[in-house]
Amino acid sequence: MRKLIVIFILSLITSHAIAGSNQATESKFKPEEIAAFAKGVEKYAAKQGARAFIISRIGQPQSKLPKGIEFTHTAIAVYSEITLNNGEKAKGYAIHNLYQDAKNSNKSALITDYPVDFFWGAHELKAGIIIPTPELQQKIIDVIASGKNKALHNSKYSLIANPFNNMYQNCTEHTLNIINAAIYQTTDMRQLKANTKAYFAPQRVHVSRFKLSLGSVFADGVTTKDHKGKVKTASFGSIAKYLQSYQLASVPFVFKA
Amino acid sequence: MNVLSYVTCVAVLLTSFSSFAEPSSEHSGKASKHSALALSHGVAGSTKVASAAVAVPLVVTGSVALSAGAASVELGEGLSKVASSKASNVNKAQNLELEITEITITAERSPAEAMKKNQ
Repeated sequence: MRKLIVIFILSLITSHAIAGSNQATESKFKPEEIAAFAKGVEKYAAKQGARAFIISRIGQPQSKLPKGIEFTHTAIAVYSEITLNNGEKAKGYAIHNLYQDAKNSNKSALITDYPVDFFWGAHELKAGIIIPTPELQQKIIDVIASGKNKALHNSKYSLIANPFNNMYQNCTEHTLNIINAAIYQTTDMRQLKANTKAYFAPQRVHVSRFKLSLGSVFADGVTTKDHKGKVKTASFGSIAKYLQSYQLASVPFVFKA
Repeated sequence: MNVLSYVTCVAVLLTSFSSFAEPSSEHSGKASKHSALALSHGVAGSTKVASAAVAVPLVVTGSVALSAGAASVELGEGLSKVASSKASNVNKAQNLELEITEITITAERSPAEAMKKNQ
């Protein structure tokens, strides 16, 4: 009887497919609402003259998120000349993401998409925006334009990756790696992690370590192997505090529909 | 541990995990986004939905937008001006409002494009 219950519960767990940063295919909003919101975000950033900025979205109700976490996916938006499939050129923001692989939750890939794609699966039409200083924006653009962001990618995915080492990586840690590579003008991961440890304060994940450890046995893409002691990860809020504390960005802005 | 305690434990675990994860996605639904956008009435401010082929970062110096990484003396000078500019020039660069297309751009291909690719 106990074995049957375990099998039943395991089937429930796997059917919930625990996942982190994903390319969304279903939406709770009308297409025109998402398109209008996405265009609004672009125009807001463009009005500030932002050539590169950190952008975040929320994929779950805020009430379900652990304390201190306001957004569930973070990436970098870069002002770009976009060549369309019909050959036409247009100006707007391209968003550089680390997304979890849809078929293998333990893996991630670097994917470029656009604001309407980015917000397609959002739970709420709400965007977190951090605009770095112009000098840092330029350096971030250089990291991405030169392809160095790919050298900073570790495809071993964990939703709660520890930003102080490179054992696993999530979207926010990859964003932080790009920022630090821009600041320190290096892609040497050991150097970047040493600097991160020295200057960056990650977000504590307020879920008990016992639950996280036991849950990682059942859920792909979640592990505590890269953590010692309290589990902490990079977040939109912790990146905002980091950049503000070193006068590298203005106050973060939350753009709402 | 009795059965009820065991079930309760795992149910609590399951609830905790789903609290900060986004829903998983399936590739099979991908083609519907482009079509949904194209078919929707009144896509605000846009008469067009288009798929993107490639995006090149732009650097804006003064009133001119230049492609990042392009090899030209003029571009090099522009970039170095942006990178090392003094506070007044930095403020000007920051406040320069950038042009944004009214086209709704998506990374997805239209059904026609997807058919061509799959032939």
